Amino acid sequence: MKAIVAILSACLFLPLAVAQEPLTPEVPLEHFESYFEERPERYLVDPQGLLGADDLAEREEFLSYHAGESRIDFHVLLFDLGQEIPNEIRIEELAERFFGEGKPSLLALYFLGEPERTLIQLSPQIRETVSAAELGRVRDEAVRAARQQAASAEQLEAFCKQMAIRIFWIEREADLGPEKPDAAPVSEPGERTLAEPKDEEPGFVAWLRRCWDEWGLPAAVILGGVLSAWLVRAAVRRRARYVFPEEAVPDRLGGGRGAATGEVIDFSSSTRSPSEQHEGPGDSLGGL
Amino acid sequence: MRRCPSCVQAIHRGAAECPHCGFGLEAADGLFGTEKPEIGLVDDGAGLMRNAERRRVEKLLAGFGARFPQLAVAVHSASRVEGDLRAYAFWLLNRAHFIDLSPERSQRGIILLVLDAARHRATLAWGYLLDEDFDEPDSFEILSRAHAYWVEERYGEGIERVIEQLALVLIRRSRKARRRARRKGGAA
Repeated sequence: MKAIVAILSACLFLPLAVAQEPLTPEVPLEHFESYFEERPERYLVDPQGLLGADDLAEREEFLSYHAGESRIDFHVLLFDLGQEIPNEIRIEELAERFFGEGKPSLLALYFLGEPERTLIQLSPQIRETVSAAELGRVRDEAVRAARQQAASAEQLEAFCKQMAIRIFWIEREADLGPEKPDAAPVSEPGERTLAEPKDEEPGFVAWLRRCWDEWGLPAAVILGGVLSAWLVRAAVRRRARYVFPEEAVPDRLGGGRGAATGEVIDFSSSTRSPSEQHEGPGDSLGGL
Repeated sequence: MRRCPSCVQAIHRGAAECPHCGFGLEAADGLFGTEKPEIGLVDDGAGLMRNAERRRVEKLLAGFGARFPQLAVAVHSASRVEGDLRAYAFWLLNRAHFIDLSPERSQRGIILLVLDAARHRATLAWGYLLDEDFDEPDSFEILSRAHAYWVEERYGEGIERVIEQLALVLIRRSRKARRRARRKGGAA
């Protein structure tokens, strides 16, 4: 009888017991210091040990590599599925406190297996350069990339890679520029939603630059030669003196200086062309 | 081909008077007066140019004179020319005393632009130095450059265009004249 009662009570009360467990547990108190106390020393903060050792090492290595190549660090605080950040913790305050000084950074609060809950924030030095809407789009793109993966570790990997790409464009927006020209990650075509850098060269300028790179020196030499020749020619012509041979011409019609007159042009009408408004010479011989 | 300035018929290059109409300098004196007018190379009697335009024209004339050491361009505007404009230009070319013409320049190297303000007409007359090398089509080409300006009463600008175009035409004619002179020298 006791067994039956035990089984019944188990059947009746077990769901209740499960339901009584918090579905969205808060971050354990013992990890508060690691998460929220000071500027993180590592790029991936996982005090709860949510990632396996290999995954953790790989993600940390990737973020370190990114930090070495970018002018903006990327820090990730990793939380578990369904975990809630304490109400008193705000990501804006964290970014301000952690990264108010030193190298600019982007902080992400990432929930393993729930990329759509991710929160991101820029450090104060560069916050003004990217609008909240753009930052939201950056986050959405990275979340979308993450959700294309099934496993939570792979989702985190995709998220980090996509964010690294977006951070490159944020660098351009903030006019920080890459430290090394070849350090810029290449984004996947058609995926960029962050505003393109405004100082990107238009096609014609890029073409000119390419031509200069390829043909600059010979073209400059040729152009210089042509210009020099033109200048010399202009100088010669400017200094040139034009003379007419003095020939013996008998006086005509009694004029001692000259007797030739030209066409008479009429400029009374603006609707008739000059050729219609000149008085050509007559010819009493009828053109013979 | 030489033509009479009055009746515009063809005449001999040494004709003392026009065989068609009897025109000559004495006949012109009868039409325009026997007094010799004293005028400057820029004589804007009709007041067509503002001072700034006049200065620009004078500057252009100085440049022209530097390039063509034998020649001088004179600009004359009259409020109204009574009678034939060609005949008037012929008379003025031969009778006027150009007070600022430098002595080293030949009187036979003057090119005179005459504008009749009332009748909106203009013409060119030139001295014997250009008798072989400058002709009526050249004068039309030159005056045509100014036509668009003059119909809008932008006289100064039109005169500037005339001087510029005249220089271009004369550069061509000068080369042609040198070749002709060389040929004559070779033949001699």
